Amino acid sequence: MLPSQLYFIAGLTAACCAPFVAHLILTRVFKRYAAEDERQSGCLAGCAFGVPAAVAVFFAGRSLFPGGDPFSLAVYITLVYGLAAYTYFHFFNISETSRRIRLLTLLSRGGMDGRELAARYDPWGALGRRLGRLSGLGELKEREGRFSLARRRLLVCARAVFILRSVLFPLERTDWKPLAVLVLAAAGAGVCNSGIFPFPASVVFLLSVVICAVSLVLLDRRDGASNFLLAAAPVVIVFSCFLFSPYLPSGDIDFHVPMFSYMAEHFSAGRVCPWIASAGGIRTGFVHISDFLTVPHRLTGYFLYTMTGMGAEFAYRLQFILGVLFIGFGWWLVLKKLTGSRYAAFFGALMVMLGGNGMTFHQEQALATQYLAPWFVLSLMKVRDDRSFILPAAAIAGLGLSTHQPQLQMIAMVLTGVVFAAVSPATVRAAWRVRWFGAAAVCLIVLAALPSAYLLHHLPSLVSPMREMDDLLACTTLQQYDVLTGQQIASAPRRYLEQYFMPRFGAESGADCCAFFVGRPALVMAAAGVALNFRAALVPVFLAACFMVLTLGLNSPGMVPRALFLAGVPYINVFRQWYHFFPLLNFCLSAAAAIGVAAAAARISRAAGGRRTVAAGCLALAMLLNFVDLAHYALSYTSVFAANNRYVPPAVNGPLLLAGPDGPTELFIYRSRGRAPVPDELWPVALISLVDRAVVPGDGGMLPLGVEGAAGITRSFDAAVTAEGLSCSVEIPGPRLLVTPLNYDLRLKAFVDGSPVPVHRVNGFLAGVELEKQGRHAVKFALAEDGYNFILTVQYLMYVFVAVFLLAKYLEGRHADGV
Amino acid sequence: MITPLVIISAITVFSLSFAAHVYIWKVFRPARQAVLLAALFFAMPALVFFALFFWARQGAVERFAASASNLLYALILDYVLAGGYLLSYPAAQASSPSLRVVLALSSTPDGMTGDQLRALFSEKELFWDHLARLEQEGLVVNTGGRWTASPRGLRAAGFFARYRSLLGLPEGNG
Repeated sequence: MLPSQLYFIAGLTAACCAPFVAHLILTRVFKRYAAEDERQSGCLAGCAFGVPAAVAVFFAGRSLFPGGDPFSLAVYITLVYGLAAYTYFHFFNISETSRRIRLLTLLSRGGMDGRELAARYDPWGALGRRLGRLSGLGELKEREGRFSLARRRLLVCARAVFILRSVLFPLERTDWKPLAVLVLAAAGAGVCNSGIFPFPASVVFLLSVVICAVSLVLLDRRDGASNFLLAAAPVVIVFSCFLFSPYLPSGDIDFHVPMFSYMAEHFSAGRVCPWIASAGGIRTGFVHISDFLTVPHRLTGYFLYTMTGMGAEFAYRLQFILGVLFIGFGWWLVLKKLTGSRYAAFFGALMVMLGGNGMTFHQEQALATQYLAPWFVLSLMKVRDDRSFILPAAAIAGLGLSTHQPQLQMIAMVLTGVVFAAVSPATVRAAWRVRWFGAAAVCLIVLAALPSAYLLHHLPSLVSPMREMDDLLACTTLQQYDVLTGQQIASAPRRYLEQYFMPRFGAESGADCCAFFVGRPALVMAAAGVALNFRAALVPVFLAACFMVLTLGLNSPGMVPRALFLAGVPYINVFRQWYHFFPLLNFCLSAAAAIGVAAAAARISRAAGGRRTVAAGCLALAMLLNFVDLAHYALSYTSVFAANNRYVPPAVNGPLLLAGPDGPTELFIYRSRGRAPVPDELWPVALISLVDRAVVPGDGGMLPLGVEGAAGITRSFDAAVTAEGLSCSVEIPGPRLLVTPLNYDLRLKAFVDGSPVPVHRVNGFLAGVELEKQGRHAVKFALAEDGYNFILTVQYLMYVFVAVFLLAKYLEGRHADGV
Repeated sequence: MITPLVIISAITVFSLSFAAHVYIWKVFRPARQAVLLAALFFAMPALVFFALFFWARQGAVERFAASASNLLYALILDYVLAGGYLLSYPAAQASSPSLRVVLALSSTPDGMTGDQLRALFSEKELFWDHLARLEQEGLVVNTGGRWTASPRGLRAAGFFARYRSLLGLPEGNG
């Protein structure tokens, strides 16, 4: 540890002791603070007098860590000092008001029997003293012998404390067995895949089936959240084959893992990297949507990578699995609310987690397409009971518009919202009756969708090497659209739907095709849902039909993409992966099947005698059979991509700065670079080119930067690509133009020997600076702030808002149940 | 240097302690809570950070958790979070009468008389339950109907008495 760090910790500790010292002085010097009604006020004053000490620590921290982030330092010191002061106040309050300390104090003077102790303690007198203290603090007021609340400050604390009480001390104890099953399953998965024992995949399969059977038996009647742990347990075992496999699907190897690794390394260094240094560099914000940098499971993956010694690839796999479990939990809540049956929720959640949505590990992007769907549906379903749920629904809708494939999310959310509104119009009217909800909902959508606004703002300066985006954006007629979409749109062929019934693995059945699977017994249960509870199953079946048609895209009857283009759906002309509607189709099938299971379970519970036993056994067998089908499918799929080579992380910095579009930059590069009429031989081949003024051409002229041996040009690779940009040290004999392969459009700031200098556009797209004086110079290029960090902060806050809202409502519900 | 990761990691580890606390309390409701709470909120985070420190140092890449100072900053924040929580916990555990009075008055706009407020409580809640909990914690002992403070109870009472006398205040009256 450095002395500066020790000084900081010592200062922080001293500041945390300041409330006690100040309180000590106040009670000793000012006798009024020793009076019974003023003692708490004295303690609060002591806490307030400690604030200057905390401020002093902040300024000391600024000088001890000059390169540090002042905002983080301020938040940290505020939290530490605030909590220390809060702790001290409560400590003092306990010494003043704790009934148990009072009893101990009385008993410390000598033993006594219960009655004598009660007489000395005087419990009713203690209650009167509390009323006096509350009045003294201004919380209560007494008028004509009646007490009432003077202010509501303490009421918030009282509610929070009683919610905590209802959580910690519920009326019924929680069953420990679900967690034990999950831990056993995880341990079993670890042993099976550890490599110590050569367990074949069949052992993993059998173990998962046994765990699933045990989970089915242990499903808790009270239907608490622990039932989800039972659904997750067998899934964890099957997933372990992917977690410990040396292989990855091809899309992950060459695209998502390098990007994850790159972002995780920067996250570990405590920053968001502002750029990706390939193809001359692009802003990270441009791939925010297509590379879903801030989805919760990704953030969890970065965090796990940062806090542990695990490799980037393992962290990537783990975050994928956590993402599937996160989606599964959301969907389990939806099904629990929809059917009210623990069996149905268990069954449907397994369909989603192990079916095409989860286990196909479909290039991670499909996970980003669906991770919001369960939480959006859950919020919509809750609006019926509590209108305030319109707020998380709006925030989630905004997040959907700024995550992967926003067009798909928009279509799906609008469709689902319209169906909900049609089914329950009274709910919609009730939700909008509170006017500020509407304004707040719109604000939340706009704030959460800021990354889309950021991309659209920059879109004119970008092109996509992957596709003819310009042509697609410019197409206005149906004829143009048909020609372009025919070449560039990916739709599910109808044979993909056969995968639900007759799964095939192999070269012709890639990840997209394999995603169309939810287990074959589940399809029977979905049909049973329609037969046994047609009214309830109507909505999921209708939505399933819609999503099936959308999945087929250009192959759909009536050409849905054309219809949506004609309807003027924003940016539908640049949307290409129609088959990525498959997760939503699977969700709907899962809901229909869950309704089938719930209806069957309800009928069985009404039956009597032997018939009931046989029917219950048949239902349990069907549920187990579906798991067997899903687990077998998932393990077969995992073995399919074993043909790929092991992932080798490519460099995203350094030499790639000089290369053409690659990896994440395949999505977007600057128009000036992508379309500049520059012959290949004129592209720069070094990180630094020093150009003599004599060879700089006039307006529009090109420097022969890429030509070996060109007169008046010196080249060097002696430069460092950093998180902020590029830095180098050069020695020049006289005035020179320093040219880098950095894109001018990155909006760079340049510094020569620490002083800012203007950046020049060179050869139409490169960035250069003029060096005037002979000698050695330190040159640094850094990206100017363009608002992306603010947008990221807003996105994080949106996630926090949704999570806190849902958790608070859950706790509120628990408290209400407890009361 | 203080980065957002220091704050995030402290909150995450505190959340882990809290989750373990909630789960154990919902399943077992331990009798002697003080020791277990100290283990969950003070010993466990220290062990977690210690383990992370050594794990992160094994990696080829420089990680946040490989820096002892980063983890120490996070541990300090975790401990003050734990301190704040643990000092609030007795109010939830013992159903603070002050907070119950506030909740009751919030639902009666016309207010309540002293007698109505007293009717919310029983002598069992206000006195006997506390005595029973002190016995559970091993702070008092009951021998043949006679209550005495145990050595641990005497130490606790002495600690608070010294603290109050340092402040120049009489002992608290409950």
